[in-house]
Amino acid sequence: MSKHAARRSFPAIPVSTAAVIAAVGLIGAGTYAAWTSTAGTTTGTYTAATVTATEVDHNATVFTSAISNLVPDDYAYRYRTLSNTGSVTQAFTGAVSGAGTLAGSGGLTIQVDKCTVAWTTVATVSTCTGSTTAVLASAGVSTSPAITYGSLAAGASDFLRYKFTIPTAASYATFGGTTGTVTVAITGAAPAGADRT
Amino acid sequence: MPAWLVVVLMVGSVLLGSAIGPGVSAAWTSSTTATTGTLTFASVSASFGAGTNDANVSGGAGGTSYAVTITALLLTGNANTYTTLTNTSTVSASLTGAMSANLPGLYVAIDRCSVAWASGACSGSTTSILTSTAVGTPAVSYGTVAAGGSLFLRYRYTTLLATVTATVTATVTAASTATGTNRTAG
Repeated sequence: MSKHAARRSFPAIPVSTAAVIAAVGLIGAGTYAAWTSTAGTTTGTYTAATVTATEVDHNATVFTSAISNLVPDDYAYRYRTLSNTGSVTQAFTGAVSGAGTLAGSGGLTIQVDKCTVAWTTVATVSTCTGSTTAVLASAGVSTSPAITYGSLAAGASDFLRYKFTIPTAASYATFGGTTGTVTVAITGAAPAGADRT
Repeated sequence: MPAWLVVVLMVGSVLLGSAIGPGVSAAWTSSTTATTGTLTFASVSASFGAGTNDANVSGGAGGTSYAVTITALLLTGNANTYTTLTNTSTVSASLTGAMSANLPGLYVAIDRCSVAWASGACSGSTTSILTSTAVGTPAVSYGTVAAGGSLFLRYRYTTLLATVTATVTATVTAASTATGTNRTAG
């Protein structure tokens, strides 16, 4: 075998290809970074709002207290403070649901009013020394009425009075000895997104 | 990192972002729920107790009716049965009743004693509830009785006939006398 024949047994590598490989190698070594510039800045702190609420008893009544021996035209008040404990205004709504025969058709009714200040009780009579607003007119619990409490600014409170009544027409034949409970589920909704520029 | 892997990760991120989107909005509401305590409607009912009888009277089991059989009641005599009538309602109630017999000519007088009758005698005070009246004619008004309260009754039967054997039944109905009040305190 001649020397010429021996050289031709290796694959031919074009010079241009070799140059590319060499260039890639150089980039990998960090040479490319030297061909960019950077300028950085950071926004102020963007803080997401908190959306929370509480509703607690006030004015010496307890929402979860039981009452027995109810008769037609009996009624009971329960006082609650609804507070927007979040960091933004919230619009509050409520869903009423009942359980048990007494919460069925012709049974318990619910009514909601609110006072601009805390309700006060003197000699067993509770009054609103501010102004009273009707939140929900008397409605049968069985109709699952929707409550619109309205908007509360962050940190603000509504002083609510729930009134539960046994209708005059409620009969012993239908409701004698029966029981019922009423659940009020309140939802507070934060405002929609806005241009905060 | 292979290019195909980069593409897969990018697509995955987009899909994940879409999935998170609907849930994130739910986090921008607050909620609080409260349930009342158990609210219980009153019940109204009344019941006779098991009675004691004169020798010529039998029966008298308790319940909402009280039936006795009177044997050989003479024109000049009387037959007595003693029982309690209890307001088993959870509230005060007005108790009224009716009486019926399987034949005419029977009269009944009802008295109550302030304490339980003992061997046909009242050691307390006696009050007339119904003067002697033909059975079945009037409704009987026992008056208003507090929840759980009892009346101690004597039914005295007489007849204008020579000799009577009859079955008499007294029934009772309770109606609440409670009126609606502010129950905020319980």
